[in-house]
Amino acid sequence: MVITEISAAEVVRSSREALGLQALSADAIDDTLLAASIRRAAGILCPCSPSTLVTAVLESLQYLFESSDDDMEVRITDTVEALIIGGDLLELNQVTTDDPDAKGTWVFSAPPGFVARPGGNVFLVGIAPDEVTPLPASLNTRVICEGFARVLTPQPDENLPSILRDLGLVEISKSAWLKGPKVESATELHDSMLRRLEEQPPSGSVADISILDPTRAVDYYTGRWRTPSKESGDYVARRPQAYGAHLWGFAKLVDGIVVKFLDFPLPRTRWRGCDVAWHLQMAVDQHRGTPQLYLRRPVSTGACLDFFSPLPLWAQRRLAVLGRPAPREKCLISYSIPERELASEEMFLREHLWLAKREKPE
Amino acid sequence: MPLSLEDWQRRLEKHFTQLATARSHSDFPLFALEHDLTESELEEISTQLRSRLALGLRLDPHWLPWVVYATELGYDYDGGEYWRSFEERTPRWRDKGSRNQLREWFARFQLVYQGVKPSGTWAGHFPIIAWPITHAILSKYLQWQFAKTLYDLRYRLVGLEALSPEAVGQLLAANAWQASSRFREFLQQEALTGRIVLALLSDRSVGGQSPIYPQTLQRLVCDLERVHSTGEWLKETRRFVADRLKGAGRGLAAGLASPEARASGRKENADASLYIRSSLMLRRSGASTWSAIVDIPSFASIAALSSELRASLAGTRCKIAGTGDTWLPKGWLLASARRRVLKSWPGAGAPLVSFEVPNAMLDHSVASEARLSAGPVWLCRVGRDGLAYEIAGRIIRPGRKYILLSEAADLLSRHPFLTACDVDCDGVSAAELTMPEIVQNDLSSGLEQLGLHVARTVRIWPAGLSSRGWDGEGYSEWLTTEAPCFGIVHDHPVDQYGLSLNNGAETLIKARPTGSPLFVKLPQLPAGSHTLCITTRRGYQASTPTSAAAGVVTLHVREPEPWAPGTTSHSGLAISVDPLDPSLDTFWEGGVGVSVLGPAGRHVTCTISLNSASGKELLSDEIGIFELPVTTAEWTKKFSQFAKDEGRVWTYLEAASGRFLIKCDELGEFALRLERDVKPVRWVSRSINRVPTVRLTDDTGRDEVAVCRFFSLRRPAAPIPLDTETVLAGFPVSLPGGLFEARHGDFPDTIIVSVPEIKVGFQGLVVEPDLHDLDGDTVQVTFILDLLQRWSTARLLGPLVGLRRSRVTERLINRLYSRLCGKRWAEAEAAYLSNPRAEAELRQLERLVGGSPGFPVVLRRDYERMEAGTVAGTEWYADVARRYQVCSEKGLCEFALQLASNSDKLLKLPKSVLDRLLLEIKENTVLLRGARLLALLAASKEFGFANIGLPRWKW
Repeated sequence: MVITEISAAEVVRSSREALGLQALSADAIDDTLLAASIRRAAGILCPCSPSTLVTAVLESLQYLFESSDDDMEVRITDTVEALIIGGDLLELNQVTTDDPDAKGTWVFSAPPGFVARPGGNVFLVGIAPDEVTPLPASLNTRVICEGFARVLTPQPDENLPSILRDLGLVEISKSAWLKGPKVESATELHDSMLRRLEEQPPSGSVADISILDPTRAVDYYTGRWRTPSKESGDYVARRPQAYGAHLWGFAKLVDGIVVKFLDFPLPRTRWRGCDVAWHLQMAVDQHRGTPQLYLRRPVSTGACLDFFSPLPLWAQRRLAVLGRPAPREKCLISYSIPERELASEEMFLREHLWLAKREKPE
Repeated sequence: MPLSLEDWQRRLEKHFTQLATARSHSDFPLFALEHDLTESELEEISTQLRSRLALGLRLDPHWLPWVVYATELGYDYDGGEYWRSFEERTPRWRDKGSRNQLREWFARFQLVYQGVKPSGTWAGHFPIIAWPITHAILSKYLQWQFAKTLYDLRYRLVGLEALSPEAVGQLLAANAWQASSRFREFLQQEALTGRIVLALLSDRSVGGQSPIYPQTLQRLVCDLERVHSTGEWLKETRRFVADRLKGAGRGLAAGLASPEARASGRKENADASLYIRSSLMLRRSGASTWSAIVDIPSFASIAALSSELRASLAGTRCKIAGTGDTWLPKGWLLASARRRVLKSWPGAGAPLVSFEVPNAMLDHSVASEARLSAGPVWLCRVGRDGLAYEIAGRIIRPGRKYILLSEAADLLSRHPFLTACDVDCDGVSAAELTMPEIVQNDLSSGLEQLGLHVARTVRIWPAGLSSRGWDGEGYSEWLTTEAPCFGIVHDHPVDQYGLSLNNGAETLIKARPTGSPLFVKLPQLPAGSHTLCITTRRGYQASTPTSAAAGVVTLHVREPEPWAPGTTSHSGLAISVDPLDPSLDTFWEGGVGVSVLGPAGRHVTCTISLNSASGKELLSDEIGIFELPVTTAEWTKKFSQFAKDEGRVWTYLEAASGRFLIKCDELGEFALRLERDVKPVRWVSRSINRVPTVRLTDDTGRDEVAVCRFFSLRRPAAPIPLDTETVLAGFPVSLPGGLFEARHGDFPDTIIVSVPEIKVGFQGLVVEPDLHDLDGDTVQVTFILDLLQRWSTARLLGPLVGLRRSRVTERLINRLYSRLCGKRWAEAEAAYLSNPRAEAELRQLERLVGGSPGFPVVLRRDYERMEAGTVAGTEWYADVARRYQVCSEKGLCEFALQLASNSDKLLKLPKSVLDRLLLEIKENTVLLRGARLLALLAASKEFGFANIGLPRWKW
């Protein structure tokens, strides 16, 4: 019999197998399967918008999960973001795809590559469109999925970077991969953005804007967003557009009306709009004397660092290379960092993101 | 006691006789490498052969050891000069041995033992060295590329059990276009390479004989596995092929082949691969406005069918209908799938791709596959992500939203259920269709009038994994490595489903309650087009379906495209290199246009490495860091500065190959292999203490000698004959260098070697050519054209060589137009070229064109019309010439433009035709001067071309 009826669980199992993942005892759709499904979809659909990827994966998984469609959509959306941070997907702005005369922001699948980690293992990135992996079976069976990340550990006396280079994978230097904006104080960043905002022409009417309220508690990110009423001042904001995702920016409001709007990302920069906005909000919070917070939780190998607001991509990449993503506990993002890296990473958080340590969980 | 050469001869005779007898029932010829000798035995034989040679004794009695010896050197061959290394390892061979004698021994081996005979173009061009290298089966320097090619083709090699060695060889030859030219030449021996593949990857034997002697095969495998990556590729390919041959899926899939997929042999693969269906997509460009986007698939699968098609795709520009008048770079279609916005509607059935240089097979494929689906209405479903994808099956579902496109302008007025929307594309109108949950009869019949069908019963979708090209209503693409799963759900009572693949036996599956899905899995399918039909039944005993097919899914199945390192697809970098696969010489001489598109503000790093014939890296330098986007002009400027560096020029002399790399951090990299053109007759230049020497290498194997001449940079029109023995031995090049020409039958080679003088200031830089040899009316125009061609097309070596060659060609061009257009014109040209911005010089040229005063004025005003391409440009020029009564013959106008811009290529015309056209143009010098004015104006706008006054028009 060539056509076989199978159960929903068998579909999930078959998908895991086709994506080169190890079988699980329960046929649940875990984060590793979601990440692999998105990589596959990206290999087919990119360049495209993140929502196209989410839609494609959600459609293929319909009737295969028990949670609501909305919950699954949020999970897929979060995984797409995680793959952008992990370097499998590239969100590029000011790039030409189908129309040579039009530039836009698109998600691309990154070419297969790797980043060497300090401990000797390597972080695999990128997508080979028609293949589960560009690696031969002897290496692929050794790949360990750490959440959304794929890690390969060298065997004794094995020069893994050299082998991967021979296979044609692009070696991405740590400095290039972790490249962040220039180091400056929170005040300098805040002031420079204010200057740019002031230089903008009047925005005209901008409807349905939402602002990040700096007066609200810094450890509840979702709760900081609201629609303006009568306030005046400068706010990190998002404005809708006729089609596509809401745009990030910095808005000047007078009596609740937008008078100027600086769109993110800034022209000719590599950072995403959201990364610029999140970084600016950190500067704003620090400038106001209410810095954003992180929590340090001891674990056997070092500590887990919990964050309550999103971190820019370049900061998350650093944490992912030095540590690994950890299950979240009453926070937005969590990374497990080995003991030897903790001091330098906490200094990084203080100096680059102006975060303060929260002493104990609430 | 060691064996004597006589003993070795006898032992080899016995071994090869036995092997030949055993192979007599198969088609497998013998290789001299199948000698069954150990390493120490080979060493012993080599020592004895060298001793005998040194003593000047007869060599013929031991011809078999000599064949084995030469073959072993062929196995170690590094891709450089076979004879040079042979002579180095075999002292006194030059005076005591003979190349022809060696050829005779190999020919005898072929006759006596049914040995392999070299074949293909390469073997024809290198008739002697082809023997030992072919008998070496797979020289070490080709092993890396061979293993890589097998690895890249692993998905397509799974069916090799059913293929002949020739068919396997053809598969390799057609798909190794990214490999080196020497490797591609090696693959021309299709039966041979196919046989190596069969031996390496399968345990197939004929008459109990494997294609290669087991010990020899083991040696090859050991050598391949010595290098980590090569070993991994070979292991992986063998594992993959073995798994697929033994896998359960194969047996099942074999019976599933669709009518198209069931055809046999090479045609089957061709049909399965010839799939370049374009799809349509709409994207919002405003609140109620859509942009139409066409997805053009990669033509790589077509290129893989034959080297001729590949060459055609790599060598011609293309246009996408409806996207503007831009010619896209050569090889554009060989990259991954591309999308373009349609500015105007190409029309139903019209080919979406057109080629600058037509190719009957490509044009046929495009006409039948690369086109929009038949109209008059196109249906696109709006997805959750806001994009609208074309539904090829024209099936509409309740509760969904669609955009309809129509070539008819009155679509809206005729169908009240549609609402207005716009599309940014001329020649097509758009309307929005929002389907209610319950479809009334009048709506249903209105949709039927548009050729659309309302589906109410069963919904089918790829489950678990996203499908390629899934349009939401029945069209999907899969890989041969995948087992498709589908979900099926119905919205009305159904008791059973009947599923059949390719009209085969029906599988009955009990349906679930309404709204509950069931899932089915298909086996891995062979490449080709397959159809999955789903029918519904009421009542468990029902033997006939209640209706016609409730759902039809088309599965287009293809082999996976292996990821190719050093290529960028949809990673955000769009890199264009023109020509697509240049030689190292063309690249270094600045003959390659490079442009890079990508996210603005990012930087790309361009580097080049040069290697010797043995693979040793001689240089690895950064050419520059560029901010995106990189234009061809920026590239040309930066590279010309880079290549001028004297230190690099000397290193370039030594190099046999190179690698050009464009790197952009996580966006990936693009790598281009660069190799010297290796010709049967070629000049080789080496630098000894910074003094260049030249030597002629002649691998033609012919008895007569090559004819060699030298043209000094000082007197570039006066040939000096060169002594053949001297050039074969090599000699230093005297100041200031010049052009070396060699010709042996049909095989020519020409290089210009420059030796700079150590003088203060600029005196030593440029050499002013003395062209008095061209004085006098007896010198033919065709002689100047011949000189021009010789100097323009020669390879360049040495410091300042580009500058010096330009000076020679500049002066030759001036002489040419002096002869054709008059001395005053030539002087005016020279004055203009020395200062292209000076208005006075330009006015003088205009005045000297002659004819009606309006003629040069119009030419100067509208010269940019030539940028539209030489076809359109010629039309325009002929029209202007006709209006001003300069010339009414379009053919002569075209010749004038070619003579004015491309004079060094005109010798390709038959002599009688060229002579006639030259006579005619001499009678109409106004036409030629007008054409030259255009050429000079165009050239002055181009970087690097202004000084010689020839524009970059493509003829």
